[in-house]
Amino acid sequence: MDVTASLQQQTIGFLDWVEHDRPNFWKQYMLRSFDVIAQARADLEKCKMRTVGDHRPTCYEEKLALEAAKKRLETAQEKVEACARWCSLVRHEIDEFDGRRGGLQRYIEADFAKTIATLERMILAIEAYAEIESAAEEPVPPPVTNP
Amino acid sequence: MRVADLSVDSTKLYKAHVELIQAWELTKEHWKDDNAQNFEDNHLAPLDPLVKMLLDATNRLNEVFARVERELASPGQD
Repeated sequence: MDVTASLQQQTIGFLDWVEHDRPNFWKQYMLRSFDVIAQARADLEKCKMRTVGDHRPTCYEEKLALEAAKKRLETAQEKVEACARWCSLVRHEIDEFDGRRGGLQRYIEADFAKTIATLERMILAIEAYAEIESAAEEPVPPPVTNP
Repeated sequence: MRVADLSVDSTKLYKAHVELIQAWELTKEHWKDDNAQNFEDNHLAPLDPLVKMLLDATNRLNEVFARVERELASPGQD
């Protein structure tokens, strides 16, 4: 595969990753984050209910887990927004790139093919000329004389 | 592993272009008439800006790709 075709294939693959793979991944991650928050809240409530005599537990770990779950959701929401933002920007960058890639590809496929043809014609002409020259330089056999 | 790494193709293109220039410089040592100059002007010279523009565009796009990959990577992959 030539370089321009390989570049094109890679940009198509990357665009698919940005437009489909990443949004799907981060949306699923966001949905799971809601579950994680719900679980963390339930764990915290359960902890608060546990009283031993007059002693009330601090539930420090449960509070930390809830904070982490909220942070996870916040990250997921930011990433979902980032996916949407990057989709249009990456598409625009690839369009710009394709203009330049297409310029070289068209030149190679059309103009450069003519270049090769020109060279081939020149080579044939030079070879033909060289043949004429060498034929001219060949020694002429002496005339046959009858005794 | 990168989702897309354009630097490999970019390097291939750069090397191929350098090889072409070097081959032409060698050829010019033996082909020195008006046809050689016409050939350079009409067939080889137009290639130069096209290759340079594509190399610049490839490097720029590769930087964008790297940034997007970092930003949208799955947790633990960045």
